Amino acid sequence: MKYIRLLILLFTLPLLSCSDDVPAASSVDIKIVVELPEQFSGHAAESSTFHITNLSTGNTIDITRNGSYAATVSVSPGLYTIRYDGTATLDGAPEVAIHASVSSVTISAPTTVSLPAYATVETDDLIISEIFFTGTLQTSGNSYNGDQYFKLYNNTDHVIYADGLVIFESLFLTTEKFNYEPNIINSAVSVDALYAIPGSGKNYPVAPGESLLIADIAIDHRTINPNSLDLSHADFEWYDVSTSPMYTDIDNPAVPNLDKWYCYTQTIWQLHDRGFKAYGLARIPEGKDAFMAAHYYTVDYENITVAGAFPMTKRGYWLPNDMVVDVVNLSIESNYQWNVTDPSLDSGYTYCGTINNDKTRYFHSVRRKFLAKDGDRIVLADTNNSGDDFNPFVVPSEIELQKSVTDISGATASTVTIDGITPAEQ
Amino acid sequence: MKRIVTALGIAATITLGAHGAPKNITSGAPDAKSGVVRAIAFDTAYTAIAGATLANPALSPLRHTVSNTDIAAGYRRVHYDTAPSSASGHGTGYGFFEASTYILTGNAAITGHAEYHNGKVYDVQASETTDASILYPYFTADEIGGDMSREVYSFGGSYASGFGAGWLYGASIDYTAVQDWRQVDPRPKNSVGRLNLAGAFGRKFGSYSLALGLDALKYSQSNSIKFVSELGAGKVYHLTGLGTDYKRFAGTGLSSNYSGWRYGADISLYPATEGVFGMASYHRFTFDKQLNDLNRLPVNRAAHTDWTVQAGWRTDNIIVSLTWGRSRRTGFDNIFGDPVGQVYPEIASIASYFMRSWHTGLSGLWRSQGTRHRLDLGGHIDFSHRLDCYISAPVDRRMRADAISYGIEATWVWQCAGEWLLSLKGAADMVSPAKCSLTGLAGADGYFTDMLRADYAYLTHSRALYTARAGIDRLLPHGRTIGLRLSGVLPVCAGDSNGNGFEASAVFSF
Amino acid sequence: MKRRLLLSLSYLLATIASYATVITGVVLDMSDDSPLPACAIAISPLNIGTQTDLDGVFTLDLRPGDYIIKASYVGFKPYEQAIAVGSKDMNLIIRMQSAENVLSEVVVTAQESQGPTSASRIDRAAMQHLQPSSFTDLLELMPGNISQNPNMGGVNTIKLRETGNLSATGTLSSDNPDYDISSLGTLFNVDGAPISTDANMQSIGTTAANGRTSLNRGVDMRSLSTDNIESVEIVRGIPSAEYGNLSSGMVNIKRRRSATPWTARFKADGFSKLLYAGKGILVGPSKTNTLNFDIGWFDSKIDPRDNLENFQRITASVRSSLHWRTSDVNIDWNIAGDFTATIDKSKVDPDLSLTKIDEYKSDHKETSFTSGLSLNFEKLSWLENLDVNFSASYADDRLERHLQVAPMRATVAPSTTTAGVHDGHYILGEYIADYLAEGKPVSIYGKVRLSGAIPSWQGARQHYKLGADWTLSKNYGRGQVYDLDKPLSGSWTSRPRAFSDIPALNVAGAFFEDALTAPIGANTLEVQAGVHLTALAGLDKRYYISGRPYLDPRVNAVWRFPAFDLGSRQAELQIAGGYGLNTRMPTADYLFPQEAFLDILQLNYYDTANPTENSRVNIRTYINDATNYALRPARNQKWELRFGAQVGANKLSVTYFQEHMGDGFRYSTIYGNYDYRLYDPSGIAPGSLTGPPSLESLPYRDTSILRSFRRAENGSTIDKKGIEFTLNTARWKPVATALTVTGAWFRTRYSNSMMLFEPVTDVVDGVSVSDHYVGLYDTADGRINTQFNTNFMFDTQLPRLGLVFTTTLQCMWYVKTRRLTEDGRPTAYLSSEDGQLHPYDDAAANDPMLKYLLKYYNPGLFDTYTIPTALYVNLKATKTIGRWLRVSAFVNRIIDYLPDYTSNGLKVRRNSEAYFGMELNFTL
Repeated sequence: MKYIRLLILLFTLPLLSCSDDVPAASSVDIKIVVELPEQFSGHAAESSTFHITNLSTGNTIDITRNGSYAATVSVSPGLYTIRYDGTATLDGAPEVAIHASVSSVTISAPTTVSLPAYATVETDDLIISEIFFTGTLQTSGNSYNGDQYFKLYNNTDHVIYADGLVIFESLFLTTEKFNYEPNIINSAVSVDALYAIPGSGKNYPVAPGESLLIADIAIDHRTINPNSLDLSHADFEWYDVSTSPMYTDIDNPAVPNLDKWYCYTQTIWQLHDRGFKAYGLARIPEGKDAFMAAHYYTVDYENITVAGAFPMTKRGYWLPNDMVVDVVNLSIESNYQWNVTDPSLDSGYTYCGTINNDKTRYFHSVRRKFLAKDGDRIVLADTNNSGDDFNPFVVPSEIELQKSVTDISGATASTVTIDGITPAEQ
Repeated sequence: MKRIVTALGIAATITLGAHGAPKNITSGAPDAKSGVVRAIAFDTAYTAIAGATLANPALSPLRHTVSNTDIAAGYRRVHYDTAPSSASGHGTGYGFFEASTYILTGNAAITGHAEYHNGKVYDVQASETTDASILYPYFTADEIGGDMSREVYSFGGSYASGFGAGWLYGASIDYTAVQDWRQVDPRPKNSVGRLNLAGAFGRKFGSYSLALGLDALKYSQSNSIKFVSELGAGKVYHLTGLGTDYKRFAGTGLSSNYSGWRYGADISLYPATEGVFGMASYHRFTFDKQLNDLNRLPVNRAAHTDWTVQAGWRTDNIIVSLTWGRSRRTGFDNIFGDPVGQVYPEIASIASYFMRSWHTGLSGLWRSQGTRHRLDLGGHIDFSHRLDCYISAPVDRRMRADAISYGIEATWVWQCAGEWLLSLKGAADMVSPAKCSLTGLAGADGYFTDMLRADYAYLTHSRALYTARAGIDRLLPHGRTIGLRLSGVLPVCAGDSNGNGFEASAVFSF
Repeated sequence: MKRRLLLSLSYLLATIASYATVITGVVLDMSDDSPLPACAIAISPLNIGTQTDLDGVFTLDLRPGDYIIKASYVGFKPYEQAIAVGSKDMNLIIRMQSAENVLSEVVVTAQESQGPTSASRIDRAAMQHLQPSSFTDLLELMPGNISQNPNMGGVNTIKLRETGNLSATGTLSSDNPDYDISSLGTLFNVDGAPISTDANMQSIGTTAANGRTSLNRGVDMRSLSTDNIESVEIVRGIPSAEYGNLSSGMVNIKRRRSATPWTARFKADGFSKLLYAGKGILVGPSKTNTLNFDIGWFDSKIDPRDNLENFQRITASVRSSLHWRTSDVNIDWNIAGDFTATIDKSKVDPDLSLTKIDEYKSDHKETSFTSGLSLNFEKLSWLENLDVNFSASYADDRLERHLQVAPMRATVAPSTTTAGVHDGHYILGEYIADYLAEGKPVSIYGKVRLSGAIPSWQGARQHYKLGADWTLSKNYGRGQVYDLDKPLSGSWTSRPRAFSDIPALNVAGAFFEDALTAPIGANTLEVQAGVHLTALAGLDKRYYISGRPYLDPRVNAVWRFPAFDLGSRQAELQIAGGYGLNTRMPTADYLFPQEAFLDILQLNYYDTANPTENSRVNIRTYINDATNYALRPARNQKWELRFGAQVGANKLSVTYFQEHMGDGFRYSTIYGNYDYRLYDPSGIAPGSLTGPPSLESLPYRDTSILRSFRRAENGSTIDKKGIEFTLNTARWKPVATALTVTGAWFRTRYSNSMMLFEPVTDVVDGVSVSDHYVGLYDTADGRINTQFNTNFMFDTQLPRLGLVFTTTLQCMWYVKTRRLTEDGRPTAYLSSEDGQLHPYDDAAANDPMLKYLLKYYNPGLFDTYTIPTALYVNLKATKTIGRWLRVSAFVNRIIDYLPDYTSNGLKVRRNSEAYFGMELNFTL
């Protein structure tokens, strides 16, 4: 009998000893301050919201502090991107939009984070309204990218002449960041391809609300790939002379060619079909020869690989930021590391597909968002933030217009839209 | 006698034939073939009650009183309609070849085993990583899942003996290798290695043996996921517990690598014939998960500690045991700064996943053993508490699941009609949930959060497992037996049947 | 039923209990007198029995009389003893002897040969314990090698005494064709006949299909099964002069020719499954002749996730050895017929819903007959043996590619087989391309050898070997068959060619070798000196090597010191050395290459109105004869020094070796200047054409361009240097374990031995520099790799338990690789204006186009990259169960120690994957 009491005691002993001591989450208090540029130093803050995104966990904390340029918040330690969007006024002048952002900030102890602010500069020139860089798929599932194109749009209310406008591609990838020496990002864009629209100055007018179609090969691609497009009606095409039978480019004599200033490749210039580069427009007053002679430069960096760090070099041209009219950064969510242009030119990125080698990206493009209608002229969004200005992963305009194939299963486009989302009234 | 048989009704069991006889068999006993004696004396149900104590390698001579070797081959399958846990799938089905031997020579005991399994795990939904029960919560997963082919190779052995005036020593080595893969997108390929080494040293005091044991486990798993279909690759996530995942590396890191070490010590006491027995042990297990594509970046690591204590009392035909244990696991998210090329500098390691659990249980067995039959009647009752939390501001998810589990089992082995040996076994195990709660999921949606809700729902249902086994063996000269085993399993969840299972195998013992 | 049982029980008890005598006994194990518990005891004729208890004791009550007591226990021989039971109690002691599953001492390691040349010998037992899938797995036992995961997706080539091609990160990169001479130059001899691969032509176009075919790479070890091998001798040092047409080493395989029980083997590991069955019987009246036959099947998945990419091997062999004894001559005649088939195929997974077709299938079916007749004249001393070897092998090789080709852009398919100007056509859209390379290589081998004694001075013995051999290799296949309009890829630079047009390759060899064993004082000197002559016969006179004999002197000598006592054990010392020149003749593919076609685009007009009718592509084709008539054989100078010591059962051997080969075979690019006429189609008004534009109507300019083709050259240099050591210790009784330490330090320098043309990729104002200027660089284009490794193998044998297990600790202490420094400045450049070489002086260095020929190598590239220590533990165990079953298991890299290390400030983490498997062996 004496055993029973012993058993009961032993049985209940553990109930007492255990408590669930789960520690509270560790957190750090930080202060965020927006530093205004000189021309707005006097302005008083109106509305102001702070977006604090933890890059590791993907959680975003949004706090609004109307009327103040600073905020304090407590967050768990980690790597953060902080953005500030607000408006400011100066004794009765119209409201001015203020943006500030800082990316990849390490927060592990209480600190003060300062956000350099900049005002969005309104450029009075053509802007990129669409980039179709993914190409299409052939019936066999192999990719076909002869049918890439740009669309440039006159977002102003007056005629603009496209003559001499230069299309460029960034030298660096948005998915690969190194310590580049010299680091000229806040003064110039490093480019590895420059193609200029010909003309003496008044040859190619673009009316307000009109767009220009610039294609890689301006032919009816459907003879080669039935799933592709007819781009023979393009306004311009870029053509590369090549003598090796393996890589030939086709020139449609009916379509004027862009004036090829420079391209890094020996054969044919193709847009990066997974979208890891930035494309933009620029006005270069000094002309081709002067620019080409003066702006060639070599950048050194250390490619740190598993095999150890290998000093590497890249060669390209530096394009001063003030010559840049518009630029669009392309990347993908799973591999994005940095913008290859200064935040004042473009502080976001747009994409087709969310992971590397995403096979659903084909037949899609990025198109600039519809903002408003000025009479019957359509105004597109241009806040120098490709993330906010562009609709990602939408059906290209040419595919909609030509009702051609929109995916590998052969389905064709049915509706026509202004920007891939908002339908266009007939 | 008959009443007991009919009362059990459904009972039938696997018996691993026993060899040798209790002390003084009178020579006049009818035709005592050693096969029968072995089948009766080799009582695994009895040894299992004191399993925690007898795990110590130096005490292996006390596990049984007779030697026994089995070579079995067959097919085993269990299928659940509702998966007990979304990370381990809807059951398994595999063909197997298993050999295990326990040899007593003098005061030494030599054991050995070798297994080869080849089959499938059915519809794993929330993890592409093998050994979900060891590596939780850090699985690599996608939103598709599916059946997984599996091959298991394992072998091992132990040797225990004594020397001098009652000194004891023992050592064991066990290695298990698992290879999982799938031949339809998404196609994971996992290769697992588990190496267990244990050593023990002890002393005999009268009829008691006291031994101090040390053991170590090296765990390693490498897995890589491949997408071949033209129609698009699924997105791969790195889960961090309770439906959350490491957003920054979502979509990358298709090949990852787990490696871990487990150290532990135990002190065990066991009587030769009857008396008190018991053990106390402490184990610590740490592992980390590395993403191979990013220069083997350790994104998560975990530390797990186990306390286990057993106290019991045994005589030749009764054994009672009281056990309780406590486990704690803390998981860390490693936070990295801005990468330069492939170099990700680590800036912090934040504890975000916590598991606190303890359990206490009472189990016992009564057996009556004659020269030609053995009957075991056993039962157990346990209370368990488990709390899982994921805390990383502003997320705070907690899941508690307490339960009371109880069950009975009966085994009957008897020699009938001279050359035949029959065995029947029946077991019923019930689990009824106690205090359960799931908080912090307000407004959260997503595939893995739904999987968490499904797992929680299963834990809140009462569930049971009924097992029935029948075995028939032919006695051969030189103490050998050859026989067939057939068993049925019926899982029950919230009152109605939750799948089925069976096993058919041929066993050759000597 | 129950009642009858109880009745007999009570009757028996009643009769015995009344006046029985008590017999008590104990059963012991004869080897160590330990008691055997639970041992079955039976008394006949009474048919009653009992068991021994834990202490091995049993008691019996018997009536006086004569009985036979029987004891049986698993793993022991059954025991019987007649006993006469009287009236007083008796006491018995039974000692049982363990059954014959007792493994006698098994040698599970490679044995260093005691002969003059340094070689490793692996016997049947060591192979069984290693549980290999193919011959490749045996190399783990060579000094300096560690175990590797099986790579069934590519050709497994052998490399002796070298580190192999390492990449910048120190990982083994096997498919650098420039150094294939290492495996091409290793001779594989099976039962006296060489495996000849000289006539193998399987390739896709001119490439060896990225490492999947064994063109110019020697024997593919995946196709060699190890299950019917009795012993293998791998000669790492200088082979005997008897063997020719080899440059690095030799593998001598002897297969089982003895009576054996039915043996069957089933192996499963992470990658593959293997089945084998074989039997050896005694035949003939006097039961002295043997007949062995066996079949083997092996199937491996390269990646288990992809069941359409696998490698299969099916082998069947019938071998017989016949013996005749007469008064003055003994005749042994070994004949064998073999069939080997390997199928290596991969297909894109049908899981895709699209019609993507991408199939590769390469199968090789070889049947061979070998015969070795040996006449032994006991009475004649000057002619002791006359050996005649003959072998013939015929293989049916088919390499098929079935591919849906979808050019990314419109590409041009040149489709003529003659030189000059002609029209090509655009490849528009997708098409199915079929490619077949059908080879039927035949090789016939004959050898005659005489050997006998030469009278020599007192105490010395001299033995000579003299003979000649002849190898003929010819390929009768239809060669490459495909539709030129539908090539496998847009950039197709070859044309279909029939292999049967390629002339036969005849390699003639002759040898003389003298082996002298002479006592000098208490020492003995053994010298083996000989010369092997190799020549290509029946070759076109334009070839430099046609009919030119190449003499290979080979000398090996061993100086054995007199035995002396060291403590309680007897010790012996010996010093050996050798020097040899080895010559390897080029293969048929090197001597008779494909013609090189160069197509240059003259007009590329794509009519957008209707592309199919009005487009026109005009191409100028040049055909170059890529044959190199100045090609010389590859000659490798080898010398080595070896120190051997033996103390009791412990053996140590340390070898220093050095090898130099300056003329290994490689394909290198030859640049030339080609004129062509470039038409300017820009003048054509679109849509105005009714047919393709005529060339005469278009403006043009005549210009010239630099293009290249490949030609076989003696361009590779391999310098090997290293120290190998092997230590076998005696078995240490208490732990029943013997330690074997093997290891090696290798230093190998790979580089080219001739100047190389290297194009640059820069484009200046739309014109690519390499079209007009190509630099000739005095480059080293190579690497120096060093590695140091030691393997500690503890083999433990517990005969009583029938258990053998080996724990091997494999340590790769370091691997260093350094790229040879390059000078980026070319010595000369080829210009397209005149096609001549011009010196690259300072004026050229500033020329706007020529300045791009200056290659820039940043100094970081030439730093030494070091991988620190890597330790792996491998475990292999074999358990014998009864007399007919053996269960084995192995795990390579069960534990690994791979510390992180930093290189150039980057933290490098490493891990390894275990390779495990199990095996059942039945001997019935």
